[in-house]
Amino acid sequence: MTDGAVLAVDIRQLSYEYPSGVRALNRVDLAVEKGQCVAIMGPNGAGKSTLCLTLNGVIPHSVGGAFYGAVHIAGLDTMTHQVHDLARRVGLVMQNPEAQLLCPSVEDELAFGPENLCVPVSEIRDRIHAIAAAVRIADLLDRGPADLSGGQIQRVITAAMLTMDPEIMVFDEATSALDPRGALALFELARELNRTRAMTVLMTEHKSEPVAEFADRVVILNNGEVIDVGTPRQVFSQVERLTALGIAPPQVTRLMHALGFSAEALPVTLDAAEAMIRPKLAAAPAAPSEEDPPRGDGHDTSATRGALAAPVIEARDVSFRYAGKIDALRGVTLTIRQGEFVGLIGENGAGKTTLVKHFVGLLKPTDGTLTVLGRPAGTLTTSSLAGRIGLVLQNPDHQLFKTSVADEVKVGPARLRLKGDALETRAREAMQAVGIFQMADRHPLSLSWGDRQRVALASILAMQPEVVIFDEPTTGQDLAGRTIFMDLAYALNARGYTIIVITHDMELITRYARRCVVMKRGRVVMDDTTKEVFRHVDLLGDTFIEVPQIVQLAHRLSDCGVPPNTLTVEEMTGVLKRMGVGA
Amino acid sequence: MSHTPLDYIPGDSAFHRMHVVVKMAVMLSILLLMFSVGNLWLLGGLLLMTVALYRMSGVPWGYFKGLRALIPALLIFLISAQGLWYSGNRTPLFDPIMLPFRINFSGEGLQANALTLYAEGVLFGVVLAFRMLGMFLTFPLVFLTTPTTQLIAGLTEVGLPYQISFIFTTALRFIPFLHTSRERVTEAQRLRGMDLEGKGIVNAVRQTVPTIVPMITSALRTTSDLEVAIESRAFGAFDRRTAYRGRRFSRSDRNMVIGLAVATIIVAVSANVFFPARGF
Repeated sequence: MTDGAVLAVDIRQLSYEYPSGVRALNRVDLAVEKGQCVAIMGPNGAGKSTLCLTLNGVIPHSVGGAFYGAVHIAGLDTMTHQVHDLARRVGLVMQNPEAQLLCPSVEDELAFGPENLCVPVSEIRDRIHAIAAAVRIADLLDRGPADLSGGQIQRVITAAMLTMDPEIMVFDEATSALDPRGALALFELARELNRTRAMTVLMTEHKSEPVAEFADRVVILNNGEVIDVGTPRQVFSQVERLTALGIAPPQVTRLMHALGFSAEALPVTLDAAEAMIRPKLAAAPAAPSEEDPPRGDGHDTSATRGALAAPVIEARDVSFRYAGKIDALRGVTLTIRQGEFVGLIGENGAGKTTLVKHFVGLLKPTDGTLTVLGRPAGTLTTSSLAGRIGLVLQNPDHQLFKTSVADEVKVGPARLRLKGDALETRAREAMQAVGIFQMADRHPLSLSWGDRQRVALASILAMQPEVVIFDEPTTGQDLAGRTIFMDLAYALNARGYTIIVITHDMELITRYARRCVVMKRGRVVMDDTTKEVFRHVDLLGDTFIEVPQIVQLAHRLSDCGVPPNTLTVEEMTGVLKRMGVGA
Repeated sequence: MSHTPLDYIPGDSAFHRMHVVVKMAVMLSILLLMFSVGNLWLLGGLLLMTVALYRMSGVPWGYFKGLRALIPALLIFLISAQGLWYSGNRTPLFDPIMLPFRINFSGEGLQANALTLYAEGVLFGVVLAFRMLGMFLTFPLVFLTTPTTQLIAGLTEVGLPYQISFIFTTALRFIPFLHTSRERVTEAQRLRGMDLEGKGIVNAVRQTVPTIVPMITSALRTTSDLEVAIESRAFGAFDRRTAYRGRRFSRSDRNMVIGLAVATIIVAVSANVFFPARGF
């Protein structure tokens, strides 16, 4: 593979067991050449983060456990070198932005690493200014941790690693807590470092679309084992195999696979897909003249159906200001009706969470009127609304405190004065609805993140609310986790529940939500059927919403007669089949 | 993140510009004086001086809001406890049972009983209350006017091992984290019907477990993330490290600390000679 050159990362027969006895890695072999950009993908619990921690020696030096095999970083054996010795060569950016900041200002943060390495003050100063300019955070140097957004924090951490002058940068799901705009900026930063500084980059990531654009190679990890390594094309073209593992290949790859193209011919990027389809469309005899293709799933009827149902939430000119800060909501007018499935989207800080906190009484409007379930919000307390409107928060760990799943689920209904058999039935039904009944006796904190989220959801459902609001339920989840959650929401909706989902995952929105409310800087800027909203790709770009690959493709091909508001892979497959595109 | 009583308040006051060790020496002198003099006027003066230092450093009046509730509680508790049970109690002051008739500063002819307050104890209670306030007020100003890194750098300069000062200051950084975590946890519990609007001790106890347990869980998770973050930045690589920021501890700083020490001793001794505390 290399002609005697030292590999950036050389992992041989690496197996690792945590001190708790959990085996996280099994006979992993991985060689990464200098200057490569490698993406590590796999379902939750596959061992991706563990692998990242072996690269800077935190495993085994700080965590302990049983470590077999060998990891060499730029020729150094991690077993015989200290963490700080490895840390100057490997920069690590992790998922949780808040837990990585150590200093009171950005400038101090950037100085911290080189200070530890005894770099002279004048050189630290030079490095800080050069790196801050390169990472485009020069205007943030005086800011404190509380004044940074999640995306900014991740850039600051990246910069704080770069001032230590590493050879390798590792991003461990560094984008998963970010909005699409922040995520894209971080991807671009990683690619820039890779291209202009010949930095070796390793990243773990759930989304395959950016990976296909950025990575030289993709490593698939499952149950602690490397089961595939190759170029994005080689790996992503195995559509069925990856889907079975819970990894979704890029949308365009799935599209062309569904159209019957063979694995060797499948594109993985938007450009490649467009280049493949365009000539076939030009050759196609006739394009359908009708803009909206017929659909079987009832998406289009919801607008009229919704207009007939009773309103559950009515906001009129609602404004809200956090003490001493700028307005978080500015004149929001919005009606949500019984039985709707609404997607609430927009960049971080747009006011989405602030708005739904009003719906459950956690916040009261500074201005305007809000009616929840027919009563003015000012007269309702959160505890009295709890049985009627459920809000599932992003982090389940903020609410779990009982020693068994069943007890945890009973907390809500018990506070609603339910007792005996009625309480047992409620809890059982809620656990069955989210598929955790078999875990009823387990300790909630012994479960995986995804399962803990399901416990949190069940504990809300057990109170039988009429409206269920999800605040970013899919953050950091693999495909399987994301799908399970959204299928649940869909099933609840079919049973008559009103559903509101806040998410950055536009692929999920286009698949599940019938109506979309787009927020920007405290205002509702668009409120329509999902189909209509995604017709305005330019406006969405303005609100920093990431438009799914299929929608982008539809817009690019609209001059060939493809309806520009085609939203999902399945829909696009149908459209293109009718237009005569196929293998 | 919301502001907590120990977060750095940026500024460029004379106190801000002092070396952290000098700041600590100033505060330590005030505190030592408060514990070595018993004269109420001197103690009050020292307290006023501390508050003046806060104001000079640009700390807003709002900062003292928390103390408004504390001061009366402290005074009532200490005065009644010491007034009743102080070992030096000689002079009965008054008896709450017969309040209007038995008030008697000389104490002559007063029949003492279990509820009699004594003058010595009451005065000593006030002294203790002043000293407690001094303890609450002196050192926070050092944190309010010094960024964490400067604090670590300054302490390391005068010989405190870096690791120790780092652990110490990281623990301080944890306070705002616990603060936000508490807010999020109570929100989560309110969403499941926990009644925060209700009052009373029973309700308060009922709220404790559902708030404390998730707070501890998330604190533990954050601690381990924080540990990885610190190690990943080559912390503890060498015994010494570069001090990127912070004023050097200069000769004049050293002289100032020595001067403060001498002055403290002189003031303490002369105060006890010229303004002896009465009665105890």
